[in-house]
Amino acid sequence: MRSFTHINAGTVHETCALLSKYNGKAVLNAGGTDLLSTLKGEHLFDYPEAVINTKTISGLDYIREDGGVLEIGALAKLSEIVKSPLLKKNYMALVEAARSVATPQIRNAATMGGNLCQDVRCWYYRYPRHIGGPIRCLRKGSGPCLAVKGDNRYHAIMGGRRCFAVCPSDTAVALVALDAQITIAGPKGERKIAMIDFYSPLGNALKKDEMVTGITVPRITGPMKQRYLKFALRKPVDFAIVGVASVIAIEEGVCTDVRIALGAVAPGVVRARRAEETLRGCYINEDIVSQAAEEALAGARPLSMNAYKVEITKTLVKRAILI
Amino acid sequence: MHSEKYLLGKTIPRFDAVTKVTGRERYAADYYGDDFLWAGVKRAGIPHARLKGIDIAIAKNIPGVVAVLTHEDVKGTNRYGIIRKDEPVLADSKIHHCGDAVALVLAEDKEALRCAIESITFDYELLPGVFDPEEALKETAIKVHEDSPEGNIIRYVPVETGTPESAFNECDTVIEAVFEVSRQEHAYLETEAGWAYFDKTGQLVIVVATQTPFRDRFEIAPALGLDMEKIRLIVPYLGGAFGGKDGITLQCLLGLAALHSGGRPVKMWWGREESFLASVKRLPARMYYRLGAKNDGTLHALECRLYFDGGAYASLGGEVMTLAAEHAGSAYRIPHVSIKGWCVYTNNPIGGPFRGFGVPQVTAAMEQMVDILALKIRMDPLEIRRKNIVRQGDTNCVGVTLTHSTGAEECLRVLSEHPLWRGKDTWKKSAAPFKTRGVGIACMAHAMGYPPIVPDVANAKIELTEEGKIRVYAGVVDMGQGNASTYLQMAGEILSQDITGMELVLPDTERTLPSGSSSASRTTYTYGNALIKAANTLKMRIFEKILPLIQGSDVNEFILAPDRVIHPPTGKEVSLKEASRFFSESERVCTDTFIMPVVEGMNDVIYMGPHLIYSYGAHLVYVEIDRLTGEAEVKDYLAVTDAGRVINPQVFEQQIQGAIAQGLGYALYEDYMVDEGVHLTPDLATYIIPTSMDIPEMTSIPVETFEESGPFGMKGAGEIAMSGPLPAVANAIYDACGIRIPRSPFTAEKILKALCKLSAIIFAFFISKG
Ligand SMILES: Cc1cc2nc3c(=O)[nH]c(=O)nc-3n(C[C@H](O)[C@H](O)[C@H](O)COP(=O)(O)OP(=O)(O)OC[C@H]3O[C@@H](n4cnc5c(N)ncnc54)[C@H](O)[C@@H]3O)c2cc1C
Ligand code: SF4
Repeated sequence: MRSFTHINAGTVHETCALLSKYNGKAVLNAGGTDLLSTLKGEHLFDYPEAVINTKTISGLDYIREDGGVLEIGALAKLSEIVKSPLLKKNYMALVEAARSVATPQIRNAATMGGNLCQDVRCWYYRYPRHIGGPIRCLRKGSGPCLAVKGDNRYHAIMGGRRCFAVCPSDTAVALVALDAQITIAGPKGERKIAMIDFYSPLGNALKKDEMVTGITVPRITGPMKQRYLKFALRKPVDFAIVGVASVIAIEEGVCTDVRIALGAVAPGVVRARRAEETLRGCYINEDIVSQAAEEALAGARPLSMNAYKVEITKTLVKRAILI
Repeated sequence: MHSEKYLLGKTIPRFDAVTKVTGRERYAADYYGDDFLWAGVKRAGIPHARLKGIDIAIAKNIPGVVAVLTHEDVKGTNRYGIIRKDEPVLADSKIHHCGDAVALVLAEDKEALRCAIESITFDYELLPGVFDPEEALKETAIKVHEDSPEGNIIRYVPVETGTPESAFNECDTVIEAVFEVSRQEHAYLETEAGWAYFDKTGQLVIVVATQTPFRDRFEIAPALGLDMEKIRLIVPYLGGAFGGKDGITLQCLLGLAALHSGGRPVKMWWGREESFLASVKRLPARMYYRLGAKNDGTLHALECRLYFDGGAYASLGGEVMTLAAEHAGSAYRIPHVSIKGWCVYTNNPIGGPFRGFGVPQVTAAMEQMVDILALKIRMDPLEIRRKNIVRQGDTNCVGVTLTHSTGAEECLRVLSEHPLWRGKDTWKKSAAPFKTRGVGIACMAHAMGYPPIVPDVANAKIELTEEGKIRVYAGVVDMGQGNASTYLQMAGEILSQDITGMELVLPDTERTLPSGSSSASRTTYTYGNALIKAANTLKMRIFEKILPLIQGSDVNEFILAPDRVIHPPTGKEVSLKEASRFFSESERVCTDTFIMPVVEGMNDVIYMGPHLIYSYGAHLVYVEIDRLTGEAEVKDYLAVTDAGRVINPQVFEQQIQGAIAQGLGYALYEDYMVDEGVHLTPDLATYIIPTSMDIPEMTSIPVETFEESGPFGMKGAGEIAMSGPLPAVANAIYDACGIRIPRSPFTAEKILKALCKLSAIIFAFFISKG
């Protein structure tokens, strides 16, 4: 790790002003569970001049329902999300996703905002400086994507363009299935975008001087079955090879509403819209679910070593709906 | 008070338990002092290059930097290596793998150290590398070490018994298969650390985490141009090693740093990534097997070719492969055998010792072969093993007659009567939808000690202190396995002392006696035997000394009890402290030596000669496969072990459980991947090892044969269980769904691919049948 200026931010407004001032040379530190490993590994070519501590911003750790709309602040801890009776009642997909993250100790430090904004895990991208890195690649602004010809067993099977690193966040997948919106604050105020539009192949929707302040989830009407299923090499403490979240309403065996989100298969979270179409209005049985699973993966274009992820994703989609 | 078994066979808390769990125990990394300097290394980061120049100018001028050293500052040979001196302290002419040390920096603080290391650049000509052992053997292959007389061959080992050539013609069934096993990283909790300084007498003192303090001096001295007698190594408890600290890690670098520190102590402590990058690994291997048997299942002929990737330096890679060759036939009688093994240089990470020392690799292959054969001739996997398993008096695959305790068959018997074996069919039938269950077994053997050409010697030292305490000087390192505590238990047994009241001196080349390495499943056997002799001498000496005091007539009338000697005929007691007053300084200390017995006159059978005494095991595993994701989950595990008598059941079980966990990691996820020099799994986020949550219920049953030559009848228990999990899991996966994966670990990805292929074949079969 190198030296940097450390600033405790008091408010969102101040944070954005600082981000503006440092013009790309400052980073936010929430729980630090991801940031510190990037600062230590020094795998990027630029090193931040300043680290802005956001933990000192008060009032950004809420988990509340307001008029049926769920609101979670960027500084809410994942451990609080796992424990929250409110979330357990109506937003089980998010609880399951948060619970699948890392370890209890890490969840005690990790925040909602940090989980959504964490950097990708591509092993070429994260190659530590002091053992021969940093490695140049397209995401870092020069050279080709090394994963295309290299070992891409954990990379994207769809939606990749130039960079094939997948979005590692578990909670993002659940939030997309819950149709969440993400609130972004900048010097000029706040804006809201759909969670699903937050990620792009080379990063996310944040501008240099913006930060995430929270997420909102629209009112859930009627009973909804929710799941988050995660497949990883090792069950505890490991990033998803595939994550699938489902939110589904079934009345008398018939699916009246459904949203399915796929994680760790693409640079962002993927909504399986065609599969949702297929299921909506249908009696749920093995056949229709298998058909939906096929459709969810219809757009998959696996790389040389990751076709197995397609099969695993299909299975998870089926299980997320049937079980 | 005194009974035959005072402490023996009992679970008593380890001597190191309390100090470790309370954080009071000082490991090598815990040494700090006034005015010390940090030492750190610039690593090559490229796998193969000619080194043309090193630019340290900027580094030298960074405030806080005290010295920047390159190979030009190394006054000795700048080479070390246990068998072959091929490894530089600091790279000079060439870079052979990414972990090579190019320059050494000494600085006041870590920040200056980091900046200096970062600023060092070197000029090089990149050379094409060689990354596959079979490729490396080709005539045209790039040479890793141009001056190596045999090109890329580190060691070639042939073994032949009987007449294998013609024997295959006498077989009713012959099967062939190829197996590959991954490179495994030890991932010990304690990364490499040490502390060094020159004391007032001009002696270089190194406090370091090593398994081999005495041998290290022979390596450090010539490499740095120092006098061996003037190097002292002190070795605290290690936070794990598993073979990864068997030899030089940072000792030479620390010594070099101390030579340039202006008299200040130096400290070095590798981070996780540096440890992964620079340390030795379990050698990956490709193994070609051919096995022939009679119709009744009698194994008749075995042929194998073993290719072990030794990486950039010899280390003990050649010896690892040799032990593999010796164990290539696992625990069976096979009269006709031809084994050829190659350990080969590549530009990959260095291959070296790792718990099992080559045996897990070949056991993985052989135990799968046995199952493949059993299936082919329609025999039960347990039956075929029982039929061929070695018994005392048999001749093993390399022609050694097994005259010592041989409990392999007993292990199989215990396994066959266990509820997990008996209940396996019921368990298999009750799988949930889309899950299939399988049960696998594997046998294993593990030789104890060094091969005959390297005398396996331990020198024990025990003292009655002035305070009347019994103090044991352990010359062998305790890397976490608890051997030091077992020494106290053994001495306590003989001298009827509780171990909490005893004292322990950990290895220190100045205070303890040379006793060899902490490795080869020898540690407790060899040192324990020496210690028993020394403790018995001390006991008699105590009795002799107080005989006149009590006015007794016969030393045999005395008995010992905690802190005192009792003379039952008179009822008199003398405290050990009082007894101690009758000892002169030199009389207080008793020493003795033990040399492990070896096979005589067969040294030409295999490089370094074959082993005489073995531990054995039979393992059983329950595995459940998710047919749709390919995930293999281990549900239950049974390990039956013959490691002779058990001195401390808990310490024994910890060894078995630890080896199973490490073995399951090896079977299911651990694969240290390097793609043409790029370490794809350089940290614990990418190199996945099992956590406690991934480990199934484990049952360990010792069969406790009595090894006549062993201390209290024991044999080595540290490595034996490492070889079982991989083949047992492989056999269980086959049992569950009919697939064999040629290259371990058995990740979901590979299982799923194989399952898809299998269903495609079955589908095609049905289509073709119409
Ligand atoms: C061992 C281990 C296992 C892990 N396993 C998982 C896993 O299974 N699943 C998973 O999803 N993650 C995993 N993680 C990744 C990650 O650290 C956590 O998920 C965590 O939620 C990150 O939150 P944080 O508050 O610590 O983020 P930080 O480390 O503080 O921040 C992460 C990044 O987001 C930026 N950031 C933080 N807050 C904001 C904000 N409000 N607005 C804009 N940018 C912001 C930071 O600048 C930084 O770049 C794991 C991490 C570790 C160390
Ligand atoms: S996948 Fe993205 S991050 Fe990884 S090497 Fe390619 S461009 Fe770089």
